[in-house]
Amino acid sequence: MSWSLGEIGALATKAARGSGMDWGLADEAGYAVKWLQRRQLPGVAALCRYLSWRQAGEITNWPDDTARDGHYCPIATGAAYGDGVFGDDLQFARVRTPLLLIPFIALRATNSPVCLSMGKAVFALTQDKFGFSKNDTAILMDSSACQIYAASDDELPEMMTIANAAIPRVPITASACITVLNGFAKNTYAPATEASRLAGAGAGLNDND
Amino acid sequence: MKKPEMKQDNPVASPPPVSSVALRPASQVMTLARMGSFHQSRLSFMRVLLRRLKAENWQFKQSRWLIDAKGVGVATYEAIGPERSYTLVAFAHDLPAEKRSDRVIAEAWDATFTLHDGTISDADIERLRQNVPLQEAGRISDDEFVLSRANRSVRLFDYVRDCLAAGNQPDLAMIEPVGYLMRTTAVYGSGKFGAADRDIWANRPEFSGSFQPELLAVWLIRSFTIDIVEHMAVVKAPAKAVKLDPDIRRRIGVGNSTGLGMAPFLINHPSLIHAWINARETALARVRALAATDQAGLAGFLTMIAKAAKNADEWTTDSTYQHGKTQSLRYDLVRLDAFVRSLDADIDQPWDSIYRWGEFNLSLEGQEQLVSLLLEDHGDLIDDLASGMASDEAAHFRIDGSMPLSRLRQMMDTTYGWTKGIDYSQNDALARVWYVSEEKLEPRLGERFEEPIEPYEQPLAPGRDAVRAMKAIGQWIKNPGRSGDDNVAVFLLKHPEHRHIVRRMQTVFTLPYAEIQDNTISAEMQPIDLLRCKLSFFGASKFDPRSDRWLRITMYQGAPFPDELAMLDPDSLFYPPLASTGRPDHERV
Repeated sequence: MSWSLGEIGALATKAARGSGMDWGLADEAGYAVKWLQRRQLPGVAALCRYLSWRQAGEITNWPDDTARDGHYCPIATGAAYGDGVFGDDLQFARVRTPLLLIPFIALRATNSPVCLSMGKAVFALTQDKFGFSKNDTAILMDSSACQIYAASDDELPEMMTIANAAIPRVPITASACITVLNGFAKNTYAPATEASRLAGAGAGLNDND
Repeated sequence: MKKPEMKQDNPVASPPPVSSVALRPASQVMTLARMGSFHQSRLSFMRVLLRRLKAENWQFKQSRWLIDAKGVGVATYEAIGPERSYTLVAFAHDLPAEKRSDRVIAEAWDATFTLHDGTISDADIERLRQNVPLQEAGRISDDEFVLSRANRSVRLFDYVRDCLAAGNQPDLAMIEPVGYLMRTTAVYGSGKFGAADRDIWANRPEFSGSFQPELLAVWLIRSFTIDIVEHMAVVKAPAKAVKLDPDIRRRIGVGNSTGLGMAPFLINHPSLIHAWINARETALARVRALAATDQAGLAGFLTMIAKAAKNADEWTTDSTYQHGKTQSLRYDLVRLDAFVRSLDADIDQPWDSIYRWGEFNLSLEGQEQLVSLLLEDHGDLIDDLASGMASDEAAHFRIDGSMPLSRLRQMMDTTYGWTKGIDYSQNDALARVWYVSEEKLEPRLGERFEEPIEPYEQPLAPGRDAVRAMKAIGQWIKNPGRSGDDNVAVFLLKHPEHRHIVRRMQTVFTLPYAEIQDNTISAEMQPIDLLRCKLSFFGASKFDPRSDRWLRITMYQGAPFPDELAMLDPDSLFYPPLASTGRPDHERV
């Protein structure tokens, strides 16, 4: 049992929308989860944690409440970074589930590496390579201060390329998170009524012929 | 019933010839009424597939037939190409008649299928046996590219079985109006239900273009539908049963029953739709630009008109909407035939003259049939366009945040200028809501002002959304301290609700055929127009709407079977044969 990246991307989009994001940002969530899973990083788990945390009611507005003790939303912040709202070097006091920021930094990474520090973990990106200084568990953190900066070669972690790698699946170990995402996605589906069952799909003629 | 769009009854004199031919503008092509009148053509994906399989000399074999006397079991069909092979795995079931439904809410079918990557092992068949018959409730893997199912035609399956069991051939007059023994009710690909992601096979040359794995599966399913009916005839009368005559067999395609699940596709894949329509429009322009033809060229075209007329005559439907359109088409083809007969073969740009006459004199249904017919005999000129009928959609994902709002506004004005004709303050303009039903997770269409469904609306109304975004940008610019020099990134940070349409706008601006220039949520919108457009690109024929939102079609009717692909030219067989004896005039090659 495993999932294709295509269905996981579509599920992530629906889950984000179902948790209240506008469609355009929900699309970014789908992009981010696929980008991470393509590199065998825990994108599904990251989105599951982030949406669940928001659901708990601590913060209700996109892109999260940064006024007092709040956090930045990694999707809205990442999308704004990708769009070019911010410069190349910047710092955030608290980003929730910062792993989800990385796919957006990739949008602006060129041949010279860009780093994201999340607490003590450092993630580095170029146009076609990535690397990180800690193991998966360490980078799937709930929240941390983040800094995006251009790095010199000697401070880079070991870099990997995915250009020719096989396209991975999302493994069975993600099934609990996928159940959670399905729960959020459900919010985008209209409950059926008798009338909609007939009218919505346009039935009414015999189809058994 | 919608009136046919007749402009003039009398053929007009052809306008003077032009030296080069521009593509038809998107404002003309991208209306739902016209897209809902498209016909299959040389560039349709079924035809692209069969041309390639033939050119590359693919081999085919039925590698397993483990079906019992009740018609239950498994069969496998291998397609063996120059580099790789694929296997259709068919599970045949014994389905009680009362459980047979084409609707997506069905949970059992007469047969279920998957297309497997490579030759299949018995162990993989066992794995698939636990999953494929469950369809959406099962899981397939990276080694499978397609998941599908089909039901028998009550009108034809038992009739053909009984004829064969009695030692007789079925009557073509019974076969033609239906056109299939089994009807697929879904053909899923690209990562659905665990199947391989498109990226896994996108670079395989045999799958270049669109929907090639799905249509390979359907073509092999067609062989299964013949084998199972012949098998059941033998079960019924082992001593007497005969096989189908090849010429009759060829008139049996695969049915398909399609509902709203397919409709949002055209809206959700703008760059891909542009690639499809741009190829077709480029092909038309190339043919129209040809300087000359000869008597044989016109004679060939008249043959195509006659075949299309036969196809239109055999096209039956209970739908008043389609019935009116088909009637117009029949009339159009008679007049087109007369006009072409009146032409001198040595006029300049003869195909352009014919096309332009058609624009003035034919219904939309007739005009678009004419486009397909003009392409038929010009394979050398246009077939190369098929390879461009795909899109790297991810390349269009990123928003250009540095674009000034004044520029975005200007682009929106150009791309969505057609929305000026729509008054979105009127309920009729907003009457519909596209939503996904909780029950089957399928797209549905509801009434905004009659059902509590608006909170579940899918973003499938680009015209309305563009108007809203333009209004918001207008207000933004009016605010003190803000201006049209502010960039898109800053605007979207404050207005994430417009992010979806801004991304779309930046995609469709450079792709003229990417956007449907019609209101997709109006009270008058006909969802079947969306379905028809997509299915015509697949290569379907005999569109038979069963309501305004689902329809039946026939796929591969007339096409060669795997065992005759080497001998026959598939392109000459996608319209019905002309011989009145019922014997086809197919061209042996």
